[in-house]
Amino acid sequence: MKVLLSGNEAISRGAYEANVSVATAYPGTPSTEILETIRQYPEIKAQWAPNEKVALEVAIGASLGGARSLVAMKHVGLNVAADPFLTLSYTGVGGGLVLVSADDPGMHSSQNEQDNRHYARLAKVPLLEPANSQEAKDFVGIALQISEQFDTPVMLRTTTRISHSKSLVELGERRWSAQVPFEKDPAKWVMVPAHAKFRHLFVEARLEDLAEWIWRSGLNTYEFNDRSIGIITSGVAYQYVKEALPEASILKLGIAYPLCPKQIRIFANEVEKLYVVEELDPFLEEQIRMLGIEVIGKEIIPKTGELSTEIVRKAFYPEDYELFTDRPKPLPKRPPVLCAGCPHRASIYGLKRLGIRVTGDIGCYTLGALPPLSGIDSCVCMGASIGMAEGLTLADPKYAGNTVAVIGDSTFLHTGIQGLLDAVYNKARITVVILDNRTTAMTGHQDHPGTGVTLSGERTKAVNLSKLVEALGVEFVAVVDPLNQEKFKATVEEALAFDGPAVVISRHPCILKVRKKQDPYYIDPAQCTGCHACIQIGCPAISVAGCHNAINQASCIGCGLCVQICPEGAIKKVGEASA
Amino acid sequence: MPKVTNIALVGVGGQGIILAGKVLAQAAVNAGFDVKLAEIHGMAQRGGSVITQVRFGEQVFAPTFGNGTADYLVAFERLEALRHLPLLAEQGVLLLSDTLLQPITTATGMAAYPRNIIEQLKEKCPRFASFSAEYAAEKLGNPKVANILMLGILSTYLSDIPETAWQEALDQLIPEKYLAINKEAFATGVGLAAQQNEVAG
Ligand SMILES: Cc1ncc(C[n+]2csc(CCOP(=O)(O)OP(=O)(O)O)c2C)c(N)n1
Repeated sequence: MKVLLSGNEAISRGAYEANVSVATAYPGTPSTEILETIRQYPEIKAQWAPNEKVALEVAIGASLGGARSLVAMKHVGLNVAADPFLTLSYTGVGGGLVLVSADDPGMHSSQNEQDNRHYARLAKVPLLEPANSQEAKDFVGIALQISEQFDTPVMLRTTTRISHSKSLVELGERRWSAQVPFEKDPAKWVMVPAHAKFRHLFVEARLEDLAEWIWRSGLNTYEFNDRSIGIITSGVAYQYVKEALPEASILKLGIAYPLCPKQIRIFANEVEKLYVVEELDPFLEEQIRMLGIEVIGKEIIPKTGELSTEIVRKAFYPEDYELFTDRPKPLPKRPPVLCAGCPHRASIYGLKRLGIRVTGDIGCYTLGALPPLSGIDSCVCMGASIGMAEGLTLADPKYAGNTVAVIGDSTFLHTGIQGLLDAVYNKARITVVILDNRTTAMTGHQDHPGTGVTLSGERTKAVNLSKLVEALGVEFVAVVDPLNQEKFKATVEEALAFDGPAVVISRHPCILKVRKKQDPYYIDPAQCTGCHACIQIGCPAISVAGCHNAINQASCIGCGLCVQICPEGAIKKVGEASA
Repeated sequence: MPKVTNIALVGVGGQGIILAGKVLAQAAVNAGFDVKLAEIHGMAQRGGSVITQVRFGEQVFAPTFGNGTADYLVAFERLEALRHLPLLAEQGVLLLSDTLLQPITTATGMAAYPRNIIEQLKEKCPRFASFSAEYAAEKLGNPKVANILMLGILSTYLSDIPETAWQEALDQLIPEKYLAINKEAFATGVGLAAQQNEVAG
């Protein structure tokens, strides 16, 4: 039977069918649904890790114990997991191990669009790139076979269009595979220089064996048509090529690293002009050129953003598009916003009123950097806010006692703890505001070590944030509800004045999690002077209406932040008598 | 190449566009087609502009399609209809659930919400029909089922997908307790489409 599955759902199914028994991840778009759907299979022990490095290390341990394991992350997650990943290449595996890296060309929801195919080359491990959901499912099983046959971790790389597009998939049964029990083998598993030296030789030989094996693997396929144009491509780019250039000859790579030089040469010899169509970096192109083969790639295909049928067609037939040059008038943008009632709005607005520097982190609250709130000054990567706040105070002492790092609860537990440890160790005069909304909201409300619930929904110990930061040596720790603006402001001021690193836990549950709607508010036009102070909080329920402002009763959830901001007392609860 | 039908569903995060896309794609599968559906998760859900693309035919390659190639554009908000209008093919059909939702940029006065959107849509698109879908859905008891109501309207244009394929898709994807109202919404959409003649440009 064929069913419609997203690439992510297909990967989960592939893991199930290929007898995976351990799956780990830290959420991150576009990879999150892999673990969220894998938990439906009771045969697989699936769990969230606090970050990608730990997720991979748990998977490595499972592999050491002979289990087939899968670990999933978004592209930047592999930066965090790079340390174990690069040495895992040396140790190789016990049970098969597949690492899914979900890249985000076009940055639909990411801070950069790095091309993770380079990691396969850096780690010298094979890289599979599915071009639709059927392949996404099948390649998991193939990756695990390769992993066990060649004693290597295997990278399965998707992009947003593979992970989040649905297409038809033929389902199969779960296939049994033998679990090799743990065997003490220090020369393989203990990577000290004396052992690693030999493993490096093994890694290099493995790559050559793989290149030879690819030749007969059937993973790369020729499609010969008109031979005037020959295109080497992989992943979703293959689909754009099929559509834009149905007449072209194609070498479709299912395994995009390592390349099989023999195969590339044969294809190059069969076609008049050789092209590479690939998203982002000239990854295939440069390697093909290194083989001494002439090829056209990034001269005509963009290096940034996603490709599309249109972009590929335009690259080959620019003359077709000359007509469409008139640019329509730009329309008002519709960026995402913090929800009505979001506690982050109260925290960010409260900090903005203090007129201080605010280093930011990644999560829903990053939206507080956009106008009209404009309350965050930086965003680099998860966990960066704390170290960066400290760095600011080093750059100029005037920032000491004047700088706040804002970081979400999930992000703090991901990679924020070490930053705070550094602040304590080096006596930084910064305040860290942990925006504790009791969930990983940005990626769709996943649990984390602070929520007391596991991926499978079981109750577990929830880390106590106050005790944790105290244990790190922080001597000022306060918990406050940001929706009480006066108290919030006073608490942060006290923290800023404290001689040493201070932590304010700004605690209020995510409004989408609790879904508790209180009576909405309205603006009394008789009292509203049109000062627009309430507009400055960027609440989607409040809009400019003529010379006054208005609150949309359907969207207002009655959080009461605007009431505390209106200087005229013009905002009132529906149903309460007006004064 | 055999004909592929391209449909874009556009609107604002929270309007049920992802679900509508799934039902449409499943209906096409039930009708025996090859199908691809492309959606974007993540940031788009926080009240941002949202687009889902569905393609069906004998064989479909790319998950997405570009400007000037949509056979149908189903829009759940005026400004989003205008924003995505370039997707529509020359003879394409625009179906609008006529709602106005201020984006944060215009709600805060940083930009002005265009005044004459309906006129512009009529002028640029000869096959344009507009419906008070949320109003009709509210009368059924829940404005949120406007998404399925619009699919009912769309279904009357897609002669390749039989009624049974739609009903089956609803059965497969809508949770039991919301099924009745969604089926009602779908039927209401079918009825509305029959009443309304396309507004000629
Ligand atoms: C290394 C890395 N992993 C994952 C992500 C995806 N991601 C962005 S923010 C975030 C977590 C946000 O949770 P939290 O800090 O609690 O803030 P909230 O969204 O709940 O406000 C995740 C998982 C990322 N950007 N970088």
